[in-house]
Amino acid sequence: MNEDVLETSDLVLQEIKNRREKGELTLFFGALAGVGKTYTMLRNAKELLKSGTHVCIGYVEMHGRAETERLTQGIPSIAPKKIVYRGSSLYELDIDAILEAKPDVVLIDELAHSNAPTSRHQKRYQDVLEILDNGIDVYSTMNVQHLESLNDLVLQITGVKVTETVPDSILERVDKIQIIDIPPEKLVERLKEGKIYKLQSVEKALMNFFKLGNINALREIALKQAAGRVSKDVYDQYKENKLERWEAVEKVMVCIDGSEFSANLIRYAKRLSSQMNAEWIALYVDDFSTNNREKLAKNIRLAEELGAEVNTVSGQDVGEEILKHARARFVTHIVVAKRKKNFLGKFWRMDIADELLNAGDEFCIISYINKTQEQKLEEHDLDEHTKEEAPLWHYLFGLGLLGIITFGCIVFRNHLELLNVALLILIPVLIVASRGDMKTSMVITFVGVGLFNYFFVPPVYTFVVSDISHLWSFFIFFIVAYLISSQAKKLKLIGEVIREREKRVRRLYKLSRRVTAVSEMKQVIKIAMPLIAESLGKETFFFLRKHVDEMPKLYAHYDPKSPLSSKKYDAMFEKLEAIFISSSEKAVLDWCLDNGKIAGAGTDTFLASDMLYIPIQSREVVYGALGLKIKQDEMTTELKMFLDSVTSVMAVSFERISLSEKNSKNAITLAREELKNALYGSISHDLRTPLASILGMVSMLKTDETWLDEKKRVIISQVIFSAKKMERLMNNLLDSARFESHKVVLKKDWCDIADIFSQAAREFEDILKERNFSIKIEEESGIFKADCVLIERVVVNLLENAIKYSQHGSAITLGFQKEGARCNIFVLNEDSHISEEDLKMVFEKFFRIKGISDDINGSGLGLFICKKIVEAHGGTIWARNVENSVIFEFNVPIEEE
Amino acid sequence: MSQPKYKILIVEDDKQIQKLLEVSLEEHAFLLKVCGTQKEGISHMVQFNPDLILLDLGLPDGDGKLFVGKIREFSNIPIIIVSARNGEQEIVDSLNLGADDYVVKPFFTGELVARINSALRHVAKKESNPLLKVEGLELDLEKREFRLEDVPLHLTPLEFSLLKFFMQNSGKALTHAQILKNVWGVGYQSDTKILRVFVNQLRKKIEIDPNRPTLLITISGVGYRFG
Repeated sequence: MNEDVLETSDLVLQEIKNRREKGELTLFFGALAGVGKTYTMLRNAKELLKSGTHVCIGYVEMHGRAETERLTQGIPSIAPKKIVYRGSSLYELDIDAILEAKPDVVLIDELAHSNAPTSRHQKRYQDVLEILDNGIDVYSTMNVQHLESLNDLVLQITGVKVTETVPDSILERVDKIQIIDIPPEKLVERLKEGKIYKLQSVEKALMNFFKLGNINALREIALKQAAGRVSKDVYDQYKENKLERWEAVEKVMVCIDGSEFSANLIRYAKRLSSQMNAEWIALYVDDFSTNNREKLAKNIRLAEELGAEVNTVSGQDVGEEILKHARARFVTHIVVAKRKKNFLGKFWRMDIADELLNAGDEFCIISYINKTQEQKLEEHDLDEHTKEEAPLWHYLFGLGLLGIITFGCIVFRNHLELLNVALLILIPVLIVASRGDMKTSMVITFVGVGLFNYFFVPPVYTFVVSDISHLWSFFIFFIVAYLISSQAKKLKLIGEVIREREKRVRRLYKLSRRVTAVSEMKQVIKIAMPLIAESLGKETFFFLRKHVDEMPKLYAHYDPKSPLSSKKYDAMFEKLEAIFISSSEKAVLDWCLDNGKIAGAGTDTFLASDMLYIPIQSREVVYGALGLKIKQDEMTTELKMFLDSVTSVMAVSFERISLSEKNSKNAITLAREELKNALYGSISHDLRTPLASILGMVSMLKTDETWLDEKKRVIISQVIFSAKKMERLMNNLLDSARFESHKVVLKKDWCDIADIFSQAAREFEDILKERNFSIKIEEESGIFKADCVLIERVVVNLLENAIKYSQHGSAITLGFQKEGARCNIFVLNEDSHISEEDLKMVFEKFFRIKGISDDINGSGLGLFICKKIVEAHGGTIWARNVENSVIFEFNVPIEEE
Repeated sequence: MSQPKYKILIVEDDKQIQKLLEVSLEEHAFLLKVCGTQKEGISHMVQFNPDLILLDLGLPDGDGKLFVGKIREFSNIPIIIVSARNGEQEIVDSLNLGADDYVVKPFFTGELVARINSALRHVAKKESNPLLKVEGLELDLEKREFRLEDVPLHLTPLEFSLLKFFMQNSGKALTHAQILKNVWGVGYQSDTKILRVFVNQLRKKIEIDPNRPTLLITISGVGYRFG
């Protein structure tokens, strides 16, 4: 058991070591293709190769450039993986082969590259990150236009939309950056010579990108970016040295929503904050409006990728919420979109940017004007949302009510004023409008107005209106219907959002409350799985991995659509063999468990997978993964948040359970130890007591000489001898059992070797007179820290052996000397020899040297006990032949204070 | 048999050992009372009024160590522990609680009788004698002088007080804690290193062969016995 603990702690240490040793990322950074990034990278690699570093090419784009191709010769390369996708074969970086080869440095060109759809990661930079995580250094190349935050700036300059982007956080992750720059004229020249692209594409490239003006602009951006990076390094260094005045005081906050324009806003805020060297926050105020959830999620992800801290708050007054949050977080700069409002909107409500300008006078408000016509987009979104058809009975109900009221009004026409009729007809309009459906309410209003006009407005039974003032009343009808139904709709939406949220919170609460009382992992799964599956309406799997080296095993499966599952929750642990998990799914699962990161459908990793895998992990341990059958486009921020909270609740309870299991295991071992101790205690008591009376009685017979004749005295001597032998054997058996079955508990104290030697010698006082016995202590003081009783035991056992295996008159020496931090204790026994074979075996249990006369009695346990005691002290014991003597020697640490 | 007989109370629950003790000690002219429990032991203390108690630690009605404590509340009677366990801690605890000596089963009667006599002798010369004599050693407490075979020998003050404590308690098993507390003071009870060093020094002065001492004997795991 003890070894187990050691082993696992070793593993943990190793793991920590591995984790610390992440690879270094060196980036060759340029303004444009063709400046010579790949070339420089390869040159550098050759230098490294010369110095004996293990360099490998992971992927280098040749672009048919002869120079480059020549340079790659001589550098070992890992063949890229061939991926067949829709009939065409693509070559991609082979991560697994690289991880397998474990080179010191791997060269991976074109950091911004997008991988083929079936690859592990969507983007090559993700591959690079994984390689770095595995402790391999990476050399890579990138152009400035691929940087996410510069995306629209590049678009403005060049008019080319770059689709392959790398998040800015990668640039921050870069350990070393090398700028590759050549004069623009030379670049154009090189291009024309066909050194950059093959000739046929030159014209196209020139047209789009390689205009002299563009080149200069991009160069400027690249140099600025690198300079910014360098100044950040300097800044970080100052920060590390804790120079307070360098502390960042500025903080940028950008307000985002679900619009296309927000993405531009986010990129702008990123640029602003990196120029100011400031932290930045992206804030989304959920005002219960009909925001495009999918786009919002995308924007939030973008902000996260660009390194923002994303916060979400809820509140109807957006402006106020923004200010509240800004004050709470000590924001200095607020970036908001300035919208073009329609004429009515201007009266209706103030623009948020203006509102902030009026109220938040302590902030620097940056309103970014939206020039594109995206207002339309938003309206489109709104339409989409209202597409939900109102049920038919809404119409029937409204029309019926309208008919009844009209009929009543016709009957009682003489008793009613025209105004009363108008108000009565308004009732069904109000009722229908309060349902919040604009279309229905408009239809009902229209019919109502028609009925009112036809039956009541003079001239009656015509749709002609004689008095212009009645037209006004029709108009008011519509306004009322519009206002009420739009308000009702908003309220309904708020209600829905709140209800949905409350439901989720309640589920989580239910989960966490029920899960805290549970003491088995199975119970946790039994509670959590149906909850997740039912609330998402998705098939859910749970994969358990008990040990890091083990294959993950499908542990539970729950299909909310299956009638079996809902009836009996235990069914989810049964018939699992019938479920087939393909090997590609297994690979995704393994990756998820090994990296402790979410993977599969709906993420950026293995997005071609059928399922989403979420690891259940607490700090160090990954307990397993949750699998969810989900489609790529179904992954929303809300779903992610829900899954995050559910899995963290699960992880916490798993951790609690595994800890308490460990505790109870410890308690069991403790109880077992106690029982053992009690058993040894009583056995030794019960065996010794009768032996004591035998020895006592018999020795009394011996003391009185008058009682016995010579013959009987010999018999009594033999009885005493046998009883003593039995006592020794019993002691040895009990001790060896004790030392073997559980850890020897040392009672360490200061020991004097002189004491120990003299005590041991006293045990054999009589017989030592027949030997040439001496004690040799070569030190001023023989004081060391150990369990004195046990060390004495070792010396006694060794001395006993020495006496047994020696002749009359031969020398026996007890010796002691200090050697560094250890002390050596030996027993030398003259005139004896142990064969080399036996020397190895002497410390084994029940081993006895053959060919020794029967006079020598032993159990074969003495040396075994010695070994155990010495080892418990962290020392070693050994035996050797020296000239005509045998030396048994052991050492223990002195352990000075 | 002109001497008055010493009375010994035996508290031991094992019948065979009881018999053994009875037979062997009667042989040496002691007056005995045997009982099997602590409760009986306490009542015999009053009725029988023994000169010495032989106490087994593993009694049916509780730990024998507690019995030592109970007796020590009202009497200084010598107590010798008879223990079947070879647990040094038990012995040390009993000695610290006030027991005078111990023997471990199995024991020889000769050894037991020697212990009993030594303990009784110790009681007999209780009166404070300014001149301590053990074998060839003489410790003159008034003159603060130490003589070995009549030859004065220099001792450091600490060695003197250590030897004084040993000689005053000669024949008794003394635990490390007892010695340290009495010679060095209350704060030193666990500083066995200093004790080892001083015993070593003292042996070099009083023993013929300090590597094989005959006067100042180590009791492994427990402490020392002098004389």
